[in-house]
Amino acid sequence: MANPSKLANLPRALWRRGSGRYALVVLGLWLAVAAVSLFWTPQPLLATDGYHVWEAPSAAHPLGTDGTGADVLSWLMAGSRTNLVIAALTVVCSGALGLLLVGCMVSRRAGLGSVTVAVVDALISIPTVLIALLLTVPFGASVGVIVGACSIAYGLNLARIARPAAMLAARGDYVASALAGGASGWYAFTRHVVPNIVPVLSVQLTVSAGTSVLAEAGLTYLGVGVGAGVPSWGHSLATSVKFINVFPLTVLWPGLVVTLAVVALNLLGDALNSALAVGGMERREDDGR
Amino acid sequence: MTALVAANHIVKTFPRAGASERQQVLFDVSASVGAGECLAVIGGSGSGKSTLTRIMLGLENADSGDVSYAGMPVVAGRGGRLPGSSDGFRALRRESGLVFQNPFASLDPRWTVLRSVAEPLVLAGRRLSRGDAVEVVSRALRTAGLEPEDMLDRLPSELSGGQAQRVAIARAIVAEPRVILADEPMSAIDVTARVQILDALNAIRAAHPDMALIVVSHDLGVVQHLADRILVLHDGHMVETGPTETVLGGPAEDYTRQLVAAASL
Amino acid sequence: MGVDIRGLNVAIGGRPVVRDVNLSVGDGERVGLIGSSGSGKSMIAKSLLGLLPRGAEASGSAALGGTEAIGAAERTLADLRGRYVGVVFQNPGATLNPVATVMRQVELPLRLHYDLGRDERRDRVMSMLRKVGLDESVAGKYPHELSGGQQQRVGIATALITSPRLIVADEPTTALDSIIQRQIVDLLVSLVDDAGASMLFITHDFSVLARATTRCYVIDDGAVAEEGRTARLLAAPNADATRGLVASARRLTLSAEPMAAEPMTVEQGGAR
Repeated sequence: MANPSKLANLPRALWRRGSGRYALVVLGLWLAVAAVSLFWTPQPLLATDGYHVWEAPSAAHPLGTDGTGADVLSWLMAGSRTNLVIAALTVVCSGALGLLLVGCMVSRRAGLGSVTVAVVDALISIPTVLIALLLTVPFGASVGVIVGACSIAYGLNLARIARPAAMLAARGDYVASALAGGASGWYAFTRHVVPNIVPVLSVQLTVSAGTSVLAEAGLTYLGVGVGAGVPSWGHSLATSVKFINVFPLTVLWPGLVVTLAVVALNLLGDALNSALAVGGMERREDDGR
Repeated sequence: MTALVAANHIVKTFPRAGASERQQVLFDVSASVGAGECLAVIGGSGSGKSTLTRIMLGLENADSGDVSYAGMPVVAGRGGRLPGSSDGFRALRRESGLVFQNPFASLDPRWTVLRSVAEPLVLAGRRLSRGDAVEVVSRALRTAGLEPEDMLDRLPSELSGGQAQRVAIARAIVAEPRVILADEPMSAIDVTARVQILDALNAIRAAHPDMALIVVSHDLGVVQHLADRILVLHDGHMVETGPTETVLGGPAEDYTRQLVAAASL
Repeated sequence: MGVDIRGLNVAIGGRPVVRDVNLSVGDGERVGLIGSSGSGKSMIAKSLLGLLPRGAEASGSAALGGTEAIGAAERTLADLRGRYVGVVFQNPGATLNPVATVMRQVELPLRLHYDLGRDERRDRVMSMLRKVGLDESVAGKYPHELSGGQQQRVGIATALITSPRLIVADEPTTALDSIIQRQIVDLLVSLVDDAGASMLFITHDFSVLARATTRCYVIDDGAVAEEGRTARLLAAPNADATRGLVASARRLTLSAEPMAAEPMTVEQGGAR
């Protein structure tokens, strides 16, 4: 007896909001480029040209070349795949961890809630970079390390931010009524608590996806991100940033792509929040914003 | 009349914040309600009336004293969870309905009226087609004085206080329980809506003549046309109990007289 | 201090919530505003106090003892509110600051509007607490340590500490149990009468209004449906809205003589 019309309306509700429209366009482009890069890039990724390094944009190299003479556009297109995978996995894993922790926090089992709150509060003080460094020791620099570090850090964050809304829903008389009618704690959590924290979850998860792009860039620059030779936006940034004073244009392109993607994900969070609020599907405009 | 739900010699204490001794909220109180009967538990805030009725419905455990449902002892398992609970407790859970004070807090803001009212049917494990569920829910809404056609697809935010409370009443009766607890069902809404709730409660009693109803209120006036019997609580002590006409017509205790005065125009 | 409202209209987001209301409260008079929830009765009081929600547009005139409140500067209104008008709110638990003692709550209007020494403020607060029937030991307590009835007494003390000439009481007893409700209404009436102040009392319940006011306005759908002496309206209601409210109040109260079963006129659909 779910309300099927609601989810089906979501894309339209997002499109009606200016921020949502921008986000959908940019994310659509991102997906399309990632898909295209699987089959075609302007130049083969491994094609280097020692005679044409740090070239300005030209017909053969629309965004110029980097220090090895490789085509910047091709590397950015291929990198979009890696970043897409990182963002998607971060959303899934941090969402799962966050929900698990929220579930423990609102549990009626005495003790479990307060222990989880204390553990989350303690762990949340560890920076993402430190988690990544710790993970690199046994696993080496890889996409998995970035996803792992982001998922742990953002999952903890998510749990802490979603907790008040979850507690509010869990203390509602409708939960009491369902429990009195013989519902299990699992039923109350999945049917009542989770739907009521969806706005908060969706905002946090989209912001996490955006932050994972930034984290990838930062961690790769530090040498604990994607492995050498793996295309990613962070990789493109890291290889060009050393010569920013000499060839500023090559830094501009990956910087621009990262900015566009992060802004799009943050705006998507805003649009989701207002669309998923009770009555948000019907509202025509972005309440006054 | 044999009692459907009976609570005998109930004693209950709560931990007091920042103090080692516990605060006693119920002092040896006994209460019962029979099939088809309406019992009103009356008292001011802090009188223990909500606690008493929650214990009667197995929603909380008493420190001492016993509760029985249809002759079976009601013992909730540890922390009110189902494992370790008695047959009486399980039967009471299956066959009872609840109505709370704040109608908007008692409806999930993201669920339609149809889904909220149908929830007890789902929880009871009744497999109904959507059409059958709509029919059962519509019948319950109609009994509670609402027109189902324009109600089923609404969200709680699209209801007035009186409408929302009647939706909550419909949910409480939809699975045909044998006992209903309504805890201050008329306190959080305005006077016009209170009359609608009163009518709705009388209507569900007429529609389900064997159902027991326990109403908690601080106001004698609102239960005069509803209750068969009244139990007056004050600071956790039972002040007076008896048939409605007796308690209203000739209150024996001073506290009851104050309640009568406060409920007069 | 009198209230004079002429041709007041309030719209929120283009939707009219108050329509052409004329209303007056004389010096020393206790007047009621009654209507079911959503009737717009609170909006009338809010326009008088300059406390309308953002996006509300008010036109017409609402004067407090000769000072026009509609379109007045925030400074004028703030001065008016604390010094000459005291407000008692519906939910004392929510309107009292949870981290301030009773002493600090009650003396706040004095601090804001008068230049008094610490000792004098203290004396005034203590005597006010006694007037509202609270023990002096309450002064050092925090709101959560008080019962609902005590919290509302603190609310009344805060509203009355500056000896205002007008008290606006917005459903002050709705959140309380029946015995305490009656005590609070009686307390308000006696304090207002002793001070010779005026009172505008807002409620949905005729049984409360009958004790609190002498004259009242019945508000329905933003407009005045009927106006007159409270006792007269209770005995012989004319407008449909009044009849519904009186019938509801009668059904929910006890009466000495067996009540002639009045035909119910409350519509089933319910007012939204």
